Amino acid sequence: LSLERFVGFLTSRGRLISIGALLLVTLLFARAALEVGVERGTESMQADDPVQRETYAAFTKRFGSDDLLLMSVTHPRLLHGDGLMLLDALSRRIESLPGVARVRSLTHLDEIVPGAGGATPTPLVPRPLSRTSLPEPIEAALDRNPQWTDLLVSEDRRTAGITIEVETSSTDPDLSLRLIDTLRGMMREPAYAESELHLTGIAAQKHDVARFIERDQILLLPLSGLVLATALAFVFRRKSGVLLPMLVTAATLVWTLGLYALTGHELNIITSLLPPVIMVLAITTSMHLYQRWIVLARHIEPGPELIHRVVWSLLGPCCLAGITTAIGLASLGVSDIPAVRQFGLFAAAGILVSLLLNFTIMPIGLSFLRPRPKRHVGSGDRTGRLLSSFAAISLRRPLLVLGLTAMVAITGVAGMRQVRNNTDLVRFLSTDSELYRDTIYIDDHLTGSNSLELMLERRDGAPLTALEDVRRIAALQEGLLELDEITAGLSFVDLIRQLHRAEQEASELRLPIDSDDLLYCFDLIEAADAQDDVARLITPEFTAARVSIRLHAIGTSQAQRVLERIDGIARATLGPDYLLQPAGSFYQLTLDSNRLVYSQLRSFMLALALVLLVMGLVFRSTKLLLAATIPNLLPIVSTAGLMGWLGIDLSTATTMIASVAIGIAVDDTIHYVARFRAEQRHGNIRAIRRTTLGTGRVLVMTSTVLALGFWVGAFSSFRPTVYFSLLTGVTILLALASDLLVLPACLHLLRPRPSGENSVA
Amino acid sequence: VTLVCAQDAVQHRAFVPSTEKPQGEVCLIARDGGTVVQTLLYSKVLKRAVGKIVEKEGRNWPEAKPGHEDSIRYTEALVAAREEIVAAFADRQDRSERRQALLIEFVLIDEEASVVLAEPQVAVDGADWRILDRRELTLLEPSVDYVRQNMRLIAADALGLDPEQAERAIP
Repeated sequence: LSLERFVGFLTSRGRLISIGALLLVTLLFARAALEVGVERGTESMQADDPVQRETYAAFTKRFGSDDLLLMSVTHPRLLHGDGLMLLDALSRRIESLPGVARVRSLTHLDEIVPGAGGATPTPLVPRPLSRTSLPEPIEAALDRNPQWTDLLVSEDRRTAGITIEVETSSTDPDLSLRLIDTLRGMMREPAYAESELHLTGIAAQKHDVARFIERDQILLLPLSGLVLATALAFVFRRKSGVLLPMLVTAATLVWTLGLYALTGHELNIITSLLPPVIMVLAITTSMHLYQRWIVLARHIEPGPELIHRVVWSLLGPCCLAGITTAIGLASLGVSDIPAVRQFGLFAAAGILVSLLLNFTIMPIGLSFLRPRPKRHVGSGDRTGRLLSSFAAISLRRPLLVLGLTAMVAITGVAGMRQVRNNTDLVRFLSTDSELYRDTIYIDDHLTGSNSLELMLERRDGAPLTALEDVRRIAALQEGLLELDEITAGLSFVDLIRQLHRAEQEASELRLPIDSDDLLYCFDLIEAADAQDDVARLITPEFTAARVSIRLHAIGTSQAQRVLERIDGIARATLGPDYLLQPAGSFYQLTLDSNRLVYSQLRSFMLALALVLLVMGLVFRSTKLLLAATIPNLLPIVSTAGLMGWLGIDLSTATTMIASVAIGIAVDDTIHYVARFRAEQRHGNIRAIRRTTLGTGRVLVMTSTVLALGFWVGAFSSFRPTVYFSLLTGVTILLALASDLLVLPACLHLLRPRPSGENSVA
Repeated sequence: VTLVCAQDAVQHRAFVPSTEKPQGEVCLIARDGGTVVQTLLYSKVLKRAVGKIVEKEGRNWPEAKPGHEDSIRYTEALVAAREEIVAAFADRQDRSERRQALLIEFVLIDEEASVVLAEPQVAVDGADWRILDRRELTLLEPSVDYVRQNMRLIAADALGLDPEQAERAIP
């Protein structure tokens, strides 16, 4: 009765008040939504792990930021006068740019040579530079200092590197973004036409991610709207059938994004998917309501009674479907990755908002309309014929259907075993993107584009100044350089070798063998003028050292294996008296990626348990619950298998598929079971046939629209988002097929008893 | 504790190259009616510190400049003194002590000039260094002009005196 009163109020005397209230709230949310920012970085992709954060903080406190940009300069006469002058001019220009803390290149580098007072730093490239300078002295200097090859100059000595330390500004978060724009602008200048310039690094990655998110918002949102409107026009062939659902969808989007902005969040790689996903998820309830309005209008006169019946018949299934979808999404809230958590929680909130708006805007909107007589659609059209054959197969050959289901599941499980857990931020981007091309170029021609930092100290806290310490660290470094994935390494040991050579006026780089000689090298380090350089390698008390490693552009899966091998080498070379802690952005990403699987598995299991619990409570029938579980697990297993067979990696985005899809897939089951129970009075076989033909049609419509809506994400700038969108769409269609074939077959075989009262429908 | 020169009156003093990481201390001293620029090198990298002095001498006293010969004799004596100290240091008893000391005094009293190189015994008292004793290694008697000019250059470089102040302090 209260529902009737509420609907009556919405559709008659309270109509204008309700419209005014909805408009006012929507405008307030719209104001906030328009100001939603875009994250200037990838912080939200890093797990909330206090230990990890502390280690990274300790690293940056001791050795400074690992946030480096690397620009490569390929020049046909790199070590000749003209090549070096270009490199020098470029390095100086970059050094003068706002946002640059420090620059290092062949022309901005010292070597240590014997001098009047012993080891003396002197420029690696002698000054003054001249166009006619010959390359031999520089080549000899590079031969004397092999530590710079594969780090600041390539082995073929045609490509040089400029490392750019980016300044962090708390007052100007866009400083590094502008720096990237300036650098890329410089790279395109005619003055550098003779050389080939490329730029990579964490700051460039952050810059491009922010730009791509902005680009995706501009592209995906209107595209989603267009696809949904087209699909609605195709399905309903009425203006109101397009306008009303689109109105609800737009309002849901505004409310959810407004909420997102008001709670202080910014869009990131993952939450940039929220707008299209919200739009898609919000539209299904509108479609159910509109379709039911059309169907019931054949039997009931237009007016409050018709709208009340529409709302009454769908409130239960739609709320249940909405809640299960929200549970699936909200289960992502247990993720360690803030971006995933935000996506799950706000998408769940969006679903609940969409329920609220669907059951207010739709009744109000429908109250303005008079249904047009529509030709009765039975089993004669293409969809009807397809549904009839589905019903026939599931009723006549239920065991065959279940046998095939088992085969698909087995194939899926076999594929699942091949799924690789891998996050590769560079390969997240399209191969056409500037950052991808630049990173791969630098990786191929100069040095590894990833950096891994190792923080080393003695467990007893003593300084690392003993001969044994230095020998062990040198052995560690040599062992690491034998790994194929590691291109270069640098530590204070390289500095000790240079100092010792200069002190001994020797020609070869060797470590001191006498303790006094070694201590003297440390004394020289302590007294060195370039304390900034020293501080990046070892702490002032010599108690903690940094071993910086360049790694090829590998994903986190391979990086995990490298980390394990590093651990093995460290155990063998350092022994138990030393503590080696990996640190740095790339290490964090690897850790995050590798525990993502467990986190997402937890999230999925939670979603599954909650969804089954809700369905069990509503259905109150073990047989119905069992019948509903099989067709919902099948699409998840199939999609996971498909990922394995197609070689699609499990990454931040793709691990969300299961939790998102289970919530959506179960919606069709709920609508099917609700109708089945309502039809059970005609007997199970007739109920299944009538449900498949009746509800099946709406399910085909909504699932197709949902899949199309998700597939819009294929135009995203990020590959995992593309995979997420495509695979979620595929999962939805698999869930539809499962609900129309496997669910009826299960219901036919299990023969659940009719309930005394229809609790869902 | 016995002060080596009880009558010394320190007029200016400064750690070099910086107070945070001192490798030596330069003092402008009034002694017996004359002026002394005293440089106490007390450093783990004495070779480097002496090397810096040799470099500066080379820049300040090029071949064509009067005083060049005095400078050469001074730097040669300085390097020899450093080598002697380093050799003695290698045989030291206290292996934990890594600092080596070398005292250089440019003395100008009654228009008589000398340069003294000595191995001092240094006591560290908080942030202060005190010379307890000294073993003279070399006594040079260069020209008065060379010594005066060098004292002014050291005062300007290490004590931050401008040319006029240096001239007044070292007449």
